[in-house]
Amino acid sequence: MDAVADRDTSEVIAAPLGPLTMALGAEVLDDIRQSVIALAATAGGSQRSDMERFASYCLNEAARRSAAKGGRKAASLHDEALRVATEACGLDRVKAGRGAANAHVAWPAHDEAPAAVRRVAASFDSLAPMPVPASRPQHMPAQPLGELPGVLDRLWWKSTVRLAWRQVWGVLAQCYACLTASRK
Amino acid sequence: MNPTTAAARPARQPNVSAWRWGVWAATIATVIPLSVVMARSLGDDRPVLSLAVLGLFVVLTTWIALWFWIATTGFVLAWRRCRATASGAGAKPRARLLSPTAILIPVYNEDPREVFARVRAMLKSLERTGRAGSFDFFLLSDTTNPDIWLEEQWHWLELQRELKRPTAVYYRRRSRNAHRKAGNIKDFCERWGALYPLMVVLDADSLMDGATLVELVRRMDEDPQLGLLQTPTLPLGDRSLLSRCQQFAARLCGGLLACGLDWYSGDGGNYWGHNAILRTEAFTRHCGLSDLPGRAPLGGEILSHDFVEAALMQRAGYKVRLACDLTASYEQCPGTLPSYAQRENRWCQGNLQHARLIVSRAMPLSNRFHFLTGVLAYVSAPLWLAFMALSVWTWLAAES
Repeated sequence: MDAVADRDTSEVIAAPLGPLTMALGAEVLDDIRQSVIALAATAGGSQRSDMERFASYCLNEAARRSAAKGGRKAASLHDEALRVATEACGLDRVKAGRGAANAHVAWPAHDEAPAAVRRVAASFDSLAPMPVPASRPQHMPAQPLGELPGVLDRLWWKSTVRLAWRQVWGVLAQCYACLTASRK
Repeated sequence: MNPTTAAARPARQPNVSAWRWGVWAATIATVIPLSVVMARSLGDDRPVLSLAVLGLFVVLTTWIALWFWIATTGFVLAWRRCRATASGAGAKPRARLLSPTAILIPVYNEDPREVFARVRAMLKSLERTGRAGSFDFFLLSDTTNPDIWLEEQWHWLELQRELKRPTAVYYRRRSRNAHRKAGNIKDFCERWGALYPLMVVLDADSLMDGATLVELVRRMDEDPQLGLLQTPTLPLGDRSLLSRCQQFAARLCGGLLACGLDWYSGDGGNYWGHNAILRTEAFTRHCGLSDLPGRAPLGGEILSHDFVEAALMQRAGYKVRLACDLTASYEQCPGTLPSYAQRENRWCQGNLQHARLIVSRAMPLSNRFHFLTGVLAYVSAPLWLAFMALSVWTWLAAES
């Protein structure tokens, strides 16, 4: 999770959301995501950004596990995601999590589980709208600014401001004194 | 070329130097008689005080007179350009191909609805030109607010579903906001700069017409020595009294000043950080920023990076110009005094940091003039206050 947290957002949302959106639809994924977030909230998560990334991680892992199970009867992606979330959070409340979200996976009725798992696996590996193009790294070197006059920076700034304020205050005081003297 | 011992001197237009001397001559001719009148009115009672008042008067009047003559030159040039445009002169044929161009929009906790609305508007405008395929948008997010960040992602996904060409708009959020906007642009240059010969840098509140974007690319393609082309921006958007005043002033005076400044600067123009097109390779190779020696507020990270980047670009031998004839370039202005003051506070520190660069021999002379302009834009206010206070004191002393 720390490795995921440190990466740019582009890599986090590209990996699970792109291909899964193409396979299942955004609404289905939103339902699953909300269930996982509800579970994370139950486990004590409070930062929405952290929970969104946690949900992305669980979806990613669930898709990988579903694809890895191959020909065996695979649990629905929703249950798998909640199972991953439960393991990550250290809880054992899959049913509670599903109940809290009140969501269901709109799985194609006539497809068998292996075919559905293969579709998830295929879409997971397929190209998806990527947030950023492949990078071509290069270095942008810092350029010299030449010889610059030294200043005492903060000390100079404070002393200059203090000196200027004293002068201005003195001038204003003398102006006031002259004004009152001229009125008399 | 050793940048630390000698400033680069790129080739100048043949008549610009002569006309610049003419502007300075007109300025001096304006200031001298005014200074004589001022000196006669001050009297001889308090010579030190009178000298201080006169000194401030000369400095402040010189600056006003200089910009008056620059604006007057701009007025003449704009009038001549209007006549030339009306007669059909200056029309250029369209280039067949445009260089691939990245349009960078750095975002920092902005309203995603407005940002993406502007992106949609610019995309539609580009599609009308038939050249949209040459442009890719990059939303470079440094957003720290998680709710805004998630909304940015949602808006980007929605935009992806609408676009005919989904790769037209990319989104990247930095996990660490190093060196603010300059660091954001640097991150793009280091990761994807090699893919795009040109890049247009916008602000989150910027808006540019598609035809203007195409024309910018065309001019950069036609002149390989042109490193940076800045467009003058017009404020628009808000309807508060302050915004309307800014919009009115910019409409009335902005064009003239832009024309005059473009002429005065020649190939040593300035960069305002947004609504400009840059040559990516030149920018990456020559415009990396280093920190100023010392600590904040006058040292450390350079806040107003745009002026320094323009100087570095010119020092590398590239032209930096102001496209004063391209007016379909907009930005939003602060609508309230607190937001205006907040922006000015940031700009004040950034411009005062440039004070030391004025005396740096590694900086081109023309860009040192821009540094001086930026410093005086903020230093002139206390100078005016001192001038008025000393004038009142002198008058009161004379009365008493």
